[in-house]
Amino acid sequence: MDHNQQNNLTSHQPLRLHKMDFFKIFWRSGIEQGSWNFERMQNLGFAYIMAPAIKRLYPDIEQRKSAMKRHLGFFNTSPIMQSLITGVVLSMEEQRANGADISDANINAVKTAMMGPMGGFGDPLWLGTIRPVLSAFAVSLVLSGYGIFGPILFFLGWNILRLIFRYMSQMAGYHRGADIITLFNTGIIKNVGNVTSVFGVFMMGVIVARWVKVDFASFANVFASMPNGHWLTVLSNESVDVIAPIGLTFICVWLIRKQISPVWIILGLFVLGILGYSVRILA
Amino acid sequence: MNVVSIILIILVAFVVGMDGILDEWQVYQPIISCTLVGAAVGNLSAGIILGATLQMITIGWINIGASVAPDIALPSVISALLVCGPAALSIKHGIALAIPIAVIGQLLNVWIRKSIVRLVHDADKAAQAGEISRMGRIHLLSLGIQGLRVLIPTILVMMVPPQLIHQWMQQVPTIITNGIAVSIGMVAAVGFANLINMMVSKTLWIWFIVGFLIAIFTKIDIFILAVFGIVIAFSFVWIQNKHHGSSDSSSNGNDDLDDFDKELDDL
Repeated sequence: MDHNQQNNLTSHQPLRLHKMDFFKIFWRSGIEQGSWNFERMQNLGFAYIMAPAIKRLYPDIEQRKSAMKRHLGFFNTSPIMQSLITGVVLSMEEQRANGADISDANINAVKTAMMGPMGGFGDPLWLGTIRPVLSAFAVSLVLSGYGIFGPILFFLGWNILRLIFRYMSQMAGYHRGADIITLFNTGIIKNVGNVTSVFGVFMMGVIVARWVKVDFASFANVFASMPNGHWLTVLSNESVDVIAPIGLTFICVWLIRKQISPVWIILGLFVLGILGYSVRILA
Repeated sequence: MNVVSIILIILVAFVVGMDGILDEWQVYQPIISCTLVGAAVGNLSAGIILGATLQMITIGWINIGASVAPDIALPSVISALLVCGPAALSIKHGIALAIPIAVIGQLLNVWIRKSIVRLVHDADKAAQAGEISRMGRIHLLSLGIQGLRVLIPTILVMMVPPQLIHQWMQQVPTIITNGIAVSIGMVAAVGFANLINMMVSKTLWIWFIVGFLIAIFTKIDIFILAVFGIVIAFSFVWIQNKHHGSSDSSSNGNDDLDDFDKELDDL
């Protein structure tokens, strides 16, 4: 703190982040997870993102060292939501550099307070809803014969949303500062989270219906000898087409909740497919 | 393969490897990475089809928190290389190979995420010395190592004569390849189940069922269903808030579905 105050007394010009710094930090945010590690997770990534601001705000070497160390502490959140946290931290760092009474502990407390809720909100939104829905669009375009437009739609759709969101949330965090935490209590986050979940889960049902297929061989042989065999065949084929996808999905959910690794389930289904094909139940 | 193709593949493998850890640009998702590899070897359409098929399978493979899901980046690049490139494997073979490669990629990923701790300690020293650009270089070096995670195995695969790989895969009995082809539609369920496990809780089962029933009994286009889904999601939350106030929106109704969710948990 001594350093801050001395600095403020000697140089009367307030230290401010430049427009270019915001752009640099925004760009660096796109490679946050490059050094993801099992010790402190996104810590180096966060410090890397903060570097342009640290350079600008702390010309004094001792203050610079302590700022670097401060941001090398444990950090982990949903990557895209990190921009909002960065914005808030930027505003706190700027005030601190100008002598405001903000301690290391204050800054760390804000980072820690935000990373949990932002992770719990961001992962279902971006990875659980937006990405699956966009990839479903892309795959469905490819399967309908639009070829290259599928990948293009996915790439542009995701990255335009992501970049706009990152830039806007970084600036919103910066302008509102730590007050933004009060926004969490207004229910906005909760409502957006609810809309996301309902929409995401609805689409999951749609996608399972369209893409999960158990290719049973026709029941024609089974019912061929019976009277009304034709209708029984049609009826059983159709009901199986409805029941099999949702049944299989529920079985997989159940297995995953039993802590069975998805890879083992996939290998199990391969075995099932090979067995089923060899005895002609599946075709 | 000519020199240009080889250079392009190396470039794609490196970028895809880096994006695999970043989870930002999503070029590592099969629908993009297989397309890029297909374009690099001059067989774009096979790349797109393989990418779309793998995308269906990997749609729910998500790294949440500190968990590491089966890898997507490495199998996409190698499968696409083998399917679109001179080894000319069928898409069935490409997908069969992708699953074990996904496990190898996952192990490599976990190993690197552990090893990088050493570099992070170097970054601590850089901070101690106030060397801010050295700290940045360490971050970029870690990112580059993640790129090599996909690049090096890809080069190793490229060094195996493609005719040999083709012959090996022909040795596999058709009953196995056809069996795997039959199970692709089932394998998609695993990824979705993973997503559902994460997203669906308590009151949300009803929306899964609604989406499923509409999609299975009608032929409505998925884009239109998405618009419909957004509309019902907004109106549902709006109505919910009007009826119960915004404070307790999660606690009401749907007891049966609550129980169902619990039962699935308990089983």
